[in-house]
Amino acid sequence: MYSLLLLTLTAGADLSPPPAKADMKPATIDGLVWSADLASALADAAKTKSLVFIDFTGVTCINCKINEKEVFSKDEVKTEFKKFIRVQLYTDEVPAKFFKMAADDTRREEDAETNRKFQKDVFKTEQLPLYAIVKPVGDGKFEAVGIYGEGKINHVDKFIEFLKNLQSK
Amino acid sequence: MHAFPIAAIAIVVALNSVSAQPTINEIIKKVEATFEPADARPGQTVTLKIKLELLDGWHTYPLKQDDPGAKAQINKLTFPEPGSIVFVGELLDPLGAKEKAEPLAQIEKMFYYPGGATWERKAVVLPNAAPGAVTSIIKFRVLVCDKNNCLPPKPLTLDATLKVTGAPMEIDPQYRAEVEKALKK
Repeated sequence: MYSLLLLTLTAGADLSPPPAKADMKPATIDGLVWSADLASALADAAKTKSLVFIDFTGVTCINCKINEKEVFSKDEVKTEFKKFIRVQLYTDEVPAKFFKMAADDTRREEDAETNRKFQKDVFKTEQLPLYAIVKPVGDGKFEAVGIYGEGKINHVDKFIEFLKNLQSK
Repeated sequence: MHAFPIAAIAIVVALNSVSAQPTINEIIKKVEATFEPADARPGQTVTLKIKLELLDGWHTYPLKQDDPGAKAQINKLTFPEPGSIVFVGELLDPLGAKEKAEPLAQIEKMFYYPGGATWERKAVVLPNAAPGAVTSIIKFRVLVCDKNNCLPPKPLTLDATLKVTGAPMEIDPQYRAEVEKALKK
């Protein structure tokens, strides 16, 4: 019922990410570094004049896992990903690997709830997976420049095209 | 000259398209917890039924998966501490689950329920329960997915009300020890 959604947003309001969390750390997944902290990622992106790729995902989301294992690991995709600052925002529970110290279930679920509300407020959906590309605009704010809403990625070529097209934004 | 209007339209189209995805409240057509029978005598055993109905094309999951690879694909039910009603017996998943493999997610066998399911659990009304309405509050964490997407698990709070009426009766022997144990806590 949900058709391929590959959109380029050509403008956007000044939007704010969830607050930065000093006790979080990036994780290396399949050779690429992913952050779970959008605010810090936007700061890095502003410094390097990069865009931020956001992977809205979940430990309970099978299609998220399939995309991350089967699509994100492809060389062509990884080549494009390297051009972005990469963020994974879990909306059900944030995995322990993203915390510097042990985080209990309550903390991991609270952070996920913050991410879920952020996704819903900004992108008007809670669907998982959802992929978004955002651009820092100063003062820690950002604008959304693209959304890829296919869910399970059945069209890898379209996904790569989405990543490539937004490089010029 | 026309750049701004086109940009504005693009945003509206994009956000509207994303929001075309049904919300969790639309996907869950019906969810309810009821006691059967709704009137019961003190000491009587009743059945709590938790019924979940989903929009076509969506499915939910059991309370337990056999395959460790599918351990996250579950719903969770939490029952109240013993009061006038004590929940007894094993909570089993409904029969009729479909199963499938998801080799790309390292899952050999995953159970799921297209369109929803009904869970049942036995409960005993305490022999000394006062006459009148008794409400049990059950927490239900529901995970729903379709073929391409999932939504984050939705925490629900369900109320089930039972009317205690009539003369006390003996507790079913198969649940007596369990009720006594629960009351000692």
